[in-house]
Amino acid sequence: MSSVSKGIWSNFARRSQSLALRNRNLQKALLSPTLPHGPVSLKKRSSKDKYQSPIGMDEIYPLAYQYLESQSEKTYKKIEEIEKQLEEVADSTTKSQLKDRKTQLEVDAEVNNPEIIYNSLFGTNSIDRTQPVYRHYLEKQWKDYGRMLIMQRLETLAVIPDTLATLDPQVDVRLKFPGNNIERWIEPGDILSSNATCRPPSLEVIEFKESKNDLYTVLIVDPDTPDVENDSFSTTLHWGLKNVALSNEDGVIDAKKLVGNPEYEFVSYLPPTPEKNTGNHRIAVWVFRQAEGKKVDEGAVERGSFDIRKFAEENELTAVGAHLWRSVWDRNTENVRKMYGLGRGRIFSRDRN
Amino acid sequence: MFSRLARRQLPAVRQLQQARLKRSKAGLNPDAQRVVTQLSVMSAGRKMPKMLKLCNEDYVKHKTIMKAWSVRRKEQIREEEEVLKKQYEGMKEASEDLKRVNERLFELSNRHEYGKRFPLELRVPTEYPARQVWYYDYVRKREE
Repeated sequence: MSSVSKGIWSNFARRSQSLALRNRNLQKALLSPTLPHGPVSLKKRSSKDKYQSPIGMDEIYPLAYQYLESQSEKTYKKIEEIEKQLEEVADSTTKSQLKDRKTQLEVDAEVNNPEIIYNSLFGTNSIDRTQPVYRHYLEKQWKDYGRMLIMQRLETLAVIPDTLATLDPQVDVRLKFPGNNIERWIEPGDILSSNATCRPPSLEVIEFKESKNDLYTVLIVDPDTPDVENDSFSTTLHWGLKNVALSNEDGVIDAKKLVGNPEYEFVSYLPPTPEKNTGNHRIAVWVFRQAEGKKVDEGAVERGSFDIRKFAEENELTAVGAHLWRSVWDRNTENVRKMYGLGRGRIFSRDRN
Repeated sequence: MFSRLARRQLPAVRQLQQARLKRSKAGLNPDAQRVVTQLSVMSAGRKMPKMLKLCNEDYVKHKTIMKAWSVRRKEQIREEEEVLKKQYEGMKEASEDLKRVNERLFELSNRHEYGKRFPLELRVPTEYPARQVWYYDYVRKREE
């Protein structure tokens, strides 16, 4: 059967291969008026058998596809013009404006391509983040849910303003702990067992702008450490990473990367082990983007009474993303303390003596 | 036990009350109410449009068709607006031209004339006729 695509969307001479669907049968289904291999995405045999495509779709779909494809071709012509202009222009501000315009056009050219819509709706785990159009879809999804969720959790749990004054989220930060039967992305604000958090987490920082080699700093702090002398609470630094180079292709910070780059870690991971009767401790993960070309030059930082605002100001760090979980004293805490040689924790009670 | 006793005594009391003041029950009688309830329960799902059960491929195809339609429609609207704008600009330009060439003719062309029902220059060009096409109750203004 012939493909409905007769133009740019089936031409991969200058377009990336990642703009196509990887599954051949699915691709064939999206490039034909009907479903030549049946409904591939349905798994159950019985649902496959009884499935029927809507009446009339096979006639209209090729027309719709070709119309959108012709629109896309027009956009690609505009992109070519801009590329020509970019070669001629020397002024840096005009150049950056043209580049922004080009990225926007690259999104517009592919945003209605059915294969890309399929990938960004149903294959979000394996999409190529170097392509502006996929980043556009990821950002849209994140703004619809993830960004609102993290801001709500940060505000209701008063991590803002107890750690930093505020946050303008620009990146999606995902966090998970290795092993311990909870190999899953942690929802912001979850209360986790101290056993689960006994090893350093792996983070994923998803950038929605083009990012080739930006440097990031990651701080994990606990603003709920009891400070008995002052009848108050202090902030403890649990983990500090600096000058972590991330890009659109690779935004992961995990054990493998840290073993390869030991200079990233300037304060080693201290698992949260809240003492008994101190309630839930908020453990805030802050991701900062460093000023361009500027490296953080910090030696060993004191963990206790850590002033995160001062640290960020001194090193010209802008907070771009955050995550948090909560820890509470549980029956695993003693084991974790023993593991890290932290000694027995205090037990707080109602009356102080 | 006590409640049962109380209930047994109740009818007499109720009768007494009814004799003094007839209570008007709000709403329908129970049988009619039951029918209404059953009907509303039955028809709740039918009032909703039927959900399209599409496999992922067809869902994406459906989205593509809807998108193509909306893009086409937007393009059409833009084209129409452009034509109207051009018409308006043309009229305006002609009028300005006339003003430059001959002031008297320009004033004549813009003068309000009683009895001239459709002065051309009054109507801005539109795609469709006006909502009220004809003024049936039109009374001509008396000239002094």
